[in-house]
Amino acid sequence: MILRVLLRTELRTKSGALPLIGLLFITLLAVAGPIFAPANPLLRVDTPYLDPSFQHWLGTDEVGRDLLSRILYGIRLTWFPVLAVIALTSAIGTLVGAVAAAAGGLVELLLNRFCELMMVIPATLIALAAVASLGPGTWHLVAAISVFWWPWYARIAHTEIRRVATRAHVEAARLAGVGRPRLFLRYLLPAALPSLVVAASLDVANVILVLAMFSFLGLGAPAPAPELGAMTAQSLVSLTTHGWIPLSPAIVIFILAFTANLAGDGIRQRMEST
Amino acid sequence: MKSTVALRAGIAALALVAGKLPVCAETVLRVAYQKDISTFDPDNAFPLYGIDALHVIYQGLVQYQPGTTELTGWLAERWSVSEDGLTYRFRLHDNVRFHDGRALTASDVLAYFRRRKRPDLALSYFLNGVADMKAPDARTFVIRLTAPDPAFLDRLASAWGPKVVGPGALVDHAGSDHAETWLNEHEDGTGPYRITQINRGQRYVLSRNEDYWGKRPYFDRIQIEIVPQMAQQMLMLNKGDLDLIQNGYPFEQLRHLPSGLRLLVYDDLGLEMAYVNRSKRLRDPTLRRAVLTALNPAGWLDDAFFGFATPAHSLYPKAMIAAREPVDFPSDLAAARAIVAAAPPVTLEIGYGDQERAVQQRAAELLASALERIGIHATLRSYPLDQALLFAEDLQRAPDLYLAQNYPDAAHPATQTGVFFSSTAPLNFFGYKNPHIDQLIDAADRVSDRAERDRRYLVISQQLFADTAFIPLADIRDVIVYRQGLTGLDPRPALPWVVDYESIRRE
Repeated sequence: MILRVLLRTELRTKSGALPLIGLLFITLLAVAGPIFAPANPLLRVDTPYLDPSFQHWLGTDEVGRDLLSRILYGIRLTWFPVLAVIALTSAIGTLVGAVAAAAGGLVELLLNRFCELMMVIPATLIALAAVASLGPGTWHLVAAISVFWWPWYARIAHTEIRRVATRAHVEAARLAGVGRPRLFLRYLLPAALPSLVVAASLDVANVILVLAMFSFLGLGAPAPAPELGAMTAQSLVSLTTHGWIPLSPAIVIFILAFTANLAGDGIRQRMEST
Repeated sequence: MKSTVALRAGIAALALVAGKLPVCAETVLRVAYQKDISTFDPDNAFPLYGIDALHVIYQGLVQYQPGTTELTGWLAERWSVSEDGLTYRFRLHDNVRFHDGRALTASDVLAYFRRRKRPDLALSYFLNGVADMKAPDARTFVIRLTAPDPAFLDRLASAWGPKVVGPGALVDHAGSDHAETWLNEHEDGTGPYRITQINRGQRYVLSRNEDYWGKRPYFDRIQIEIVPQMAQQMLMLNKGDLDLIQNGYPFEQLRHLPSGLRLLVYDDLGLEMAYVNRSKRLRDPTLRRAVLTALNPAGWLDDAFFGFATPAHSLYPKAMIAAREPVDFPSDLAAARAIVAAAPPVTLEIGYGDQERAVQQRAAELLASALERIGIHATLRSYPLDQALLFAEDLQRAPDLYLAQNYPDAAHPATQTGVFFSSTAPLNFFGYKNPHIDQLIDAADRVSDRAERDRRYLVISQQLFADTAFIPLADIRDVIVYRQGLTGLDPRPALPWVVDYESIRRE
């Protein structure tokens, strides 16, 4: 239903369609990028610091690996963890928010206060400490970020469900004898989903940047995995002499975040207008 | 009258402003470290950053001459060794003063050496072979050893060797911990500079000791900035905010050095080496041989160090022992691939030292790529030295290989074997034990004839390599990048990354 709305509204205009197509393209690259990569991203294939050429479109990095291949693999290492964080945190947040809204009373109070507590904690710093102690690794990073990311979704889910719960059609369903589980799944949760989808789509860019930051700090997948943030950090010292090596992955991070942001914004606008 | 008053007021104002201005840049040497200085206690830490500062704050009995591994006197004017090689008698200079103004006497040296021997201090092992010490008169200090030790004077001249701390610390501020706490941020040395500013993690300033007993150094102040990012250090050097970068300048960028910068290249005692954890996947000697084949430095050395390193000739740096031929690595890549293909999938973790992290990471990435070529996947992780020192406690959690540029205590090969290879060596990270090797080391350590000594140590190197416990990879040259006009940098091969602040000057 939501997908249908999205496709119908997004594709109708160029401005809405392009970011969505961009997102699909990125996902496609993440899935199939390695097929197009001209070389193994972990293998030295030529002399280090080669300029971009027909043979190596983006040149070679400081070790002599094909930079284009590393970036194509790097998109996968960025994109899938981002989707994992969004999926995980939106699911947990929705569940917590829904339980709070459905249960009411003391449970609602406690869950809401707990969410607020999690929201005021300096999440990035705690996540940094968590990853540093668990050891660098993509899934450690996903777990550490997710722990602090879900309360925003919980709050949205809770607010939306509480708002819809007072509407006439929900009251009518309740009076007609619809049971609580069915009422929740059929009437309340679907009503909260559009807001959650908008929040998630806008969050993609944030998560990309946070993951890239962690990877820049060396807390992502262990080297020599071709993570975009780590590639930028490692070659930063070459900025003045071989600028394309740190800039290429940085530009890709920018394009990913920018496209995701545009798409999120487009989705929000369409959702608001429908 | 009015104009005179105005002139006087103007002069006074100028004088006030001048007082607020920083000291003229011509008399300040500005350097940077990538890591903070842990302590100014010369007996209780193993710093690589800060040795040059300690070297001009404190002084030992003997030191290495610039550019060589030959010894010369420092606080000791001269010395003699008894026929049996057990007694060392040092005659001290007579006009030496500590920074608090007190004159140095042999009793002060004795008190200091007694402190240095305290087993709770990290560097007390330098004096493990000392049986007795005494100060028969104000200028004579005598050390008696339990057994002859041809490396003893080298130990005294080591970058981390004993350097005399005065009674201002050991008596006045001894506290309950023999001045350990006080010396973290204070000093009482005899050197040409004294600490005048400490901003932890940011900046240290050493100011010239105007009462120094030796030749007056050129610079009024040495300003040490803590700048972890090499890229930032390079920008500062280009802008003129730094005078030199002592280590870590990316090798590949030395070809693109901006005008106005100069290079000083010299051989030090650093040796790029891989330690092998033989308790995990690499317990299989066949697999170890395959790994050796892949890691052959001939295949990657130039891409890592751009001509500033040569393949190692042994487990000793060439400035220590000049072996004739490079280490003979196996070269049959097809055989190595076949070994790996026949084994269950192999993933190895390569740890690397965080000193000169960028250089080590590059070398580690090249090793990972070389291993990938024979079908071994490798992951990399940086380990600070204090974590690496704990590897032996849990070998199953430790990396499979540990890559680091290692610096022995001093120029004598006994300090290389004693620090890295013997069963009790403090930097034998994976706890390699081989009683036969220990016997060979003990025997070599007692030989004073240089040719015979070197021959024996090379035999030990060959046996350790055959056992694949330690893999010698590269002799890396040290490179100092400095602004044109500086002279007298006077590095010493046995002192890692040390520029002599006492002799350096600006033309």
